[in-house]
Amino acid sequence: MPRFYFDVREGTSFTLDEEGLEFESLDAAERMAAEAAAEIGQDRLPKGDARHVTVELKNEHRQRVLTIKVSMNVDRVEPPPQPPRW
Amino acid sequence: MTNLLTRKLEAFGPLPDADKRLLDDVIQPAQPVGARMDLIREGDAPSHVNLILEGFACRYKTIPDGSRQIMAYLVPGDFCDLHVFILKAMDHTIATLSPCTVVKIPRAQILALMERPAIARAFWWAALVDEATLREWLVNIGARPAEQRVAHLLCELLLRLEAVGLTNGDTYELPITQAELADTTGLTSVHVNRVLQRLRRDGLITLKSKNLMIMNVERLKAFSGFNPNYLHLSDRNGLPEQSL
Repeated sequence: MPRFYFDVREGTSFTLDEEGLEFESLDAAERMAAEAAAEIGQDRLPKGDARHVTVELKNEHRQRVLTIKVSMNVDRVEPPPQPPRW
Repeated sequence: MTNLLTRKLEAFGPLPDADKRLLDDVIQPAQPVGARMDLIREGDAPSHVNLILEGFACRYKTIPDGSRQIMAYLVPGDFCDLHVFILKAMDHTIATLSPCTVVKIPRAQILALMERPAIARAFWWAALVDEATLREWLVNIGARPAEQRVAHLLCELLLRLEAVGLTNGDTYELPITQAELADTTGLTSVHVNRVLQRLRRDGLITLKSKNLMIMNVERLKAFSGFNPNYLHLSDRNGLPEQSL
């Protein structure tokens, strides 16, 4: 089974996957990358220290085969709405 | 050879010499079991109690989509299921994680041990600690963020392995894969890898070829909000670190 590496970026921090994991297909590796991106995003994004979490999926030669990016955007209404008058 | 079952039970309180001799008879014959082998499966009717003398085992369940949840680690000195002579069938599977040495204790021998008051109390204590540990794992998975969740587990294993003399200072062997840690903490293995690297980068741990070293136990405990009360280790409970 081919080996894939999952490097993670969140804000300015980068985590290199040294060991990698084996998957039967690229599709299966992509599912893992998507799950991981969503999960790390859930952990990190609400804290506000990063706005994006990116998982870079690399093949056994460490060549990037796909990127999954999870973002959180908070848009406050500016100026804040005024209380209704009636 | 130290009897790890006796050592574990004596974390609760001292046992009479006659009881210790009985426990010495119990831990043989031991047999080696390879890594990732089921010792007993969900639905099986058990005829004996498995006792781990070496290695790591676990309790787990799988759901139809193939996901696995590990609900407990069994380390040397731990019974796999003391209740088998009360319950008729296993409601979960027990498997080795690393290569293990296991003793299969016949039901009759367990019943005979239960006739000894000090042993019976110690068995009861062990079962209550298993339950308390399960509660703590529920809190861990339900309430702690990923980094604290993994850090908490590493603190727990230090104390549990220390209680049976399997640590070397603040270093111990952690013979499990990232995928198994993931199944334990309810995280993906990619996330577990990220968390371990984070803990390493923050100077809390080093992990080299399955050897885990906690760089600063107090800092890791504070970071993960670790309170050892649920392990009910009489001499250690709530006390600061002390050498054995």
